[in-house]
Amino acid sequence: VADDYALRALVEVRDQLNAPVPDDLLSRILAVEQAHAFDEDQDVALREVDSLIDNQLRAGQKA
Amino acid sequence: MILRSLRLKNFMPYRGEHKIDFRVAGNRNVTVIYGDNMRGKTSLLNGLRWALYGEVLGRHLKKIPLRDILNKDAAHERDFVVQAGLTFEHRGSEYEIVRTLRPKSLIDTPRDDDHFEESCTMRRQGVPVSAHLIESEINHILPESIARFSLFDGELLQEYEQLVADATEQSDKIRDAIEKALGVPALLNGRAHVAELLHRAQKQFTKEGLKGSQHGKLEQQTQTELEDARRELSRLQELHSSATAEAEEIGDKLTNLSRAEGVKARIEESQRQRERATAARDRALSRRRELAPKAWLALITSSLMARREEVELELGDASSRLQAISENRVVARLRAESASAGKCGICAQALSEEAAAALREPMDDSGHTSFDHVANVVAELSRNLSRLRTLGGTDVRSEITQAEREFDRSTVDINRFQAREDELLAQIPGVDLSELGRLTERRDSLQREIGRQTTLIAAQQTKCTSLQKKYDVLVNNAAGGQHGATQQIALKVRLLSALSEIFEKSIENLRHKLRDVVEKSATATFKRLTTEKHYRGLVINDRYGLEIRDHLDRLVSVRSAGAEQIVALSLIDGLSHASGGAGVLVMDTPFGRLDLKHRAEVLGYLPKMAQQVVLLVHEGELSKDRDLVHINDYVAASYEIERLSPTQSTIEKR
Repeated sequence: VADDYALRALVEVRDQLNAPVPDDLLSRILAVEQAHAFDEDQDVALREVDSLIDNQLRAGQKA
Repeated sequence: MILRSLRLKNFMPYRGEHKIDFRVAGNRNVTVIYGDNMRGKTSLLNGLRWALYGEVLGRHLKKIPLRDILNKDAAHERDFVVQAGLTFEHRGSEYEIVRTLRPKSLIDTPRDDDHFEESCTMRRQGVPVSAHLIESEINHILPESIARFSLFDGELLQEYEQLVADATEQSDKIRDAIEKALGVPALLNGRAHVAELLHRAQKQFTKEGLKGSQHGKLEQQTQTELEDARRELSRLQELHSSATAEAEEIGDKLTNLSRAEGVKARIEESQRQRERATAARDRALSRRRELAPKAWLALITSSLMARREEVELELGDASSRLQAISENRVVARLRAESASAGKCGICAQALSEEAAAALREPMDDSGHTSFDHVANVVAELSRNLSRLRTLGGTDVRSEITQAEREFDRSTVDINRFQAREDELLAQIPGVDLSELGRLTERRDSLQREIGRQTTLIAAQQTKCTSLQKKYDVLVNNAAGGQHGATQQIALKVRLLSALSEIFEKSIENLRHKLRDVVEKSATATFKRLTTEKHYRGLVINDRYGLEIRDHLDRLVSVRSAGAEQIVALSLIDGLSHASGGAGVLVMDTPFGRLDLKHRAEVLGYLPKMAQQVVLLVHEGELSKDRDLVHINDYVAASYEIERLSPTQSTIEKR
């Protein structure tokens, strides 16, 4: 339930700012953060988010 | 998470192995565990906590040292192994956690936490989970910070009252825990990660594309300033955090010392009472010694009393006889004088010859001759009576008895006061009250320091934000004219800049949404539980504190203890709804402050608050005959904690 609110909050702000960030990227980053929210070591989450962004940029280039 | 069973061995009052099965069958989702105070209800809750997190909490949520979780009798019998085994189901998988505490090798008799080693094993669907993944796995199922909303004791309910008070360190901590339960950390971590990645990308961009140029120099300079400012901010935050931790530690010590001061005053009062009792006992002992030489009198008291009564009767008789003899002697003298004078000695009337002759006739003088004898008898009897009265004048027996009773009573009092002092002293072992002044001074100094650091941190944060904005503008302007690899980095910088702003602004947006959901859900629960049905509901503040609004939407500023508890339960339910809930709700002594009507309302609603409810209660707060009827249809299992000895309890199925 709380996960839905978090995604909704991100999408709403994205729309208000009119920022060029796709829903899918927001959703994937949030999923990573939720999976590692209580990890003592946050390095794994950081690497996964970095990887998601690089993938997004590569996908954008191909398109 | 749905609990299946808990097995405890040598854990606190549970000597040997004890097991509880938590059943959920259809609608029947409530397990009730009865136990009087000090029997082991909170120890059961702690058994759950220890199995999951390796932590045991005492009053005021203070950690209990591991050496104290070992059952005293087991330790006495040199059985030093403590174990808690928990089985539960989560999202279709069966889990088993076994946590064990045992002495380290070469330690013969463990006396300190350092003498023990703790180990934990976990199986998911019967397959062992790697040791280094266990903590992470548990954190995914039920993070420790969230567990406070599903495994909690009655004391914790009072803690939530602080959320409506002014902002304090404690209310900040609770707010953070609530936000963790509601998922805010995902966005907070996301913001930090995106900011870190943006920082790295900007650095890379600067290195690769703008070395040597004027613009690049300005960028590098700004970047250096930004990094310096961030380092200073980190340093200040560390200092603040360290000072806050020390202040909290001192605060705890001061709380203990204040308590110890109260205990010491009670000890001194007890000592004064013991001294008074000792003086009373000494007096009783001295009186008993005084009476000892007369104790033999107690044996002949009844004979003495009888003899005294006899002598008193004899004396009365002899005195009467002496009186009669005296009166006869006076009459005889008057007759003789009247006969001799020829006229009455009283009225002086002349006497005839016959009357005078009659007066000359001798009187019966049988007593006359015995006057001296009778007088001697009276004197002798009076002396005897006086002696008897001296001997039997005091009731020696009752005086000795009274002194004995006083001695016994004082001795009991002395022992009672001594026991009380020993008990009170045991509550404050090794407390040095002389520390009180020094610690208070140190805490005050730290609080001033923390205040100063807070101001500096705020200023430094403003400086960082300003430098970051300046740097972003420089990088974004430069990125517009780049090509190739540098352009790729520039795109990443732009994307991360956008994400950074989105995450930054989403946090407050999410908090606002969550507060709204919690408020609505808690209000619905509150209206259902409260007996004041005309109240409009609850209003949430930015710390998730809930205020009651009356029928005219005015703040209800004075709340009873029972109302506080209802509001706290409504908050728990609201949080549970907003976060999706943990599935299980374990409540230790949750009804302490509720009247009968509220208790009935809460009991009727409890089974609906979670998929599984475990109640740890005592008969005083939840009567088996009066209260349990409200949830009879939901009770799946019922247990009773029985006392075996002051250091041992057992769990019996009812």
